[in-house]
Amino acid sequence: MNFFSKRKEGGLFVNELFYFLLSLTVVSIVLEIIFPRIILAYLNINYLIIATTVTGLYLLIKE
Amino acid sequence: MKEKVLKKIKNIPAIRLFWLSLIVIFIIVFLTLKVVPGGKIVYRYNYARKFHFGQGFIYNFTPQDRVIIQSGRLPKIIGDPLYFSVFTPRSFSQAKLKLYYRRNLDENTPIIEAGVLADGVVWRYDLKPIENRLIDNLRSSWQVLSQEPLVMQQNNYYQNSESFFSDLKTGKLEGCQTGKVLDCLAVYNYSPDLKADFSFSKSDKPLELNIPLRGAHTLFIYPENNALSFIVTVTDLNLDKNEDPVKLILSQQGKIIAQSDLIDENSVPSGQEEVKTLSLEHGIKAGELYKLEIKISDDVVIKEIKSSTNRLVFANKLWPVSWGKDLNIYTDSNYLQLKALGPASLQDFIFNKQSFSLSQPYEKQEFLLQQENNEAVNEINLVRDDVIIESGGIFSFTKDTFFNPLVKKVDSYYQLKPSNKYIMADYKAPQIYHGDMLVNEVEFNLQGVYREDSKYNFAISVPGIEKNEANYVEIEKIEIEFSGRTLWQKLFNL
Repeated sequence: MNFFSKRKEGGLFVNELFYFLLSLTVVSIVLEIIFPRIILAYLNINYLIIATTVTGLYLLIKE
Repeated sequence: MKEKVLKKIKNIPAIRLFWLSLIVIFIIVFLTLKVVPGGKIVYRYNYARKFHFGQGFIYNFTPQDRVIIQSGRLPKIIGDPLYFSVFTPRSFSQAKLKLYYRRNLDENTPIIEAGVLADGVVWRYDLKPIENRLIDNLRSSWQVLSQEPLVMQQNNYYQNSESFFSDLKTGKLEGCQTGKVLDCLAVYNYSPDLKADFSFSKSDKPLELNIPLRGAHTLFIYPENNALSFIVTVTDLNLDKNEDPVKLILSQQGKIIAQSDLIDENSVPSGQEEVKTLSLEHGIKAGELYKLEIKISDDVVIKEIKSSTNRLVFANKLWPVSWGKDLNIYTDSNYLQLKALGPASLQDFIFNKQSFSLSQPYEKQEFLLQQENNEAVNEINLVRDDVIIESGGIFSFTKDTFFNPLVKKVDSYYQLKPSNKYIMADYKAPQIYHGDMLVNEVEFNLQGVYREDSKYNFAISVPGIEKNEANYVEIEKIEIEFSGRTLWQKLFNL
């Protein structure tokens, strides 16, 4: 039971993390379109996309 | 257990609120970085770091054949000049560039400079000194009278800088022949306030110069009369699609006195030539020196110059084209940099009775007079045109009206002579950063500077670096501090 609830908590965390990363990626891309180069100068969006993809895949596999 | 899970599910809005706040903070941070409300920001790129989180603001060096870039190593400059651009999310009014570098240069390559592209029409870089080893080496043997500006004297002529500047204004310096201040003074990145005093064997008269000259040219005039009339007829070749405005700018001691503009409507199809005329007429003081800039792009040719004075000389550059006859040009320089703009311009030419060969098209070639020249003015005889002729000195088409108002520059061609008694410079030597790594900082005024596609263009110049294969300059870091109006000042138009 403990194990099952911990897994559910972990899943919720990863779920929220995925939403956060996805939103952050979308916001970064939109900001980059409106103000070209301002995001890319500080942050490589590819890393965000990779992190979003990894968490998304983890959730898919877990489901 | 179910309660714990239910409690967790109830906390989801709190978790969502938390990361939504992070996103809002993220947007605010980047909007702040875009607007730069404080008016100051520093952009830097450390080439010694292997990992960079973002692309950075300082873009790659070009052209690629002038720099060696290897993974895990610092970029090495091996050609001159080298360009790079800096993206800024808004415009600024000042920039301080700090260059961290290591150099391996021979004694013939004593100068390193950095500059910003000031004018996009004439493609002029405003170069400032990073290092001048000629001046640094003289510090140990010459006396320093003043640090800002740097004034050095060969012997103990003056005890303080006040008396030096006072004498400089009258045109008489200790140890210099009367009326020959220009011979005993050399400058670097500095324009002293000197009274011009030239004499000519013949009186002043109007001039009609019909040797076509391509691109921007700078003239100095020293008229005998109180009124200047300057009429320029140009041909806009329209070989490129850009606008080709024409500007005549008359200035004295760095201040613009009069200006004439001709806007290009760019309505003529590409390849079709247009002939235009622009004139500038202004009252001036006789016997004083003026600078006249003909500001045009390389797509425009000066067909004819009609001037009310024949006492005019060209500074630093001449580009005669489409003349079809022999060209006789006079200069006081003992070296020339020539670039043939095509194979048809290659030629053997005479420079102060010595024969030289311009043999490489599209490449700048250097020619130095073999022996010490006793003549004040050297003659250049070219048999073909479409050659860009450059040097640190003056050019003229007539020997009678030749004069040089330029003070000798302490550049890579400078030769210390016994008659040189003083050096004035706006220059600070680089500091040791660590080991053999040096650092120096230069400031630029960015107002009116060329900016395209949200980028400022910079250059690093090391004249003569390519003459020795062992020469290089390694760049560890570039830091540029930009400053401008704050958000408050912009909103209230202060």
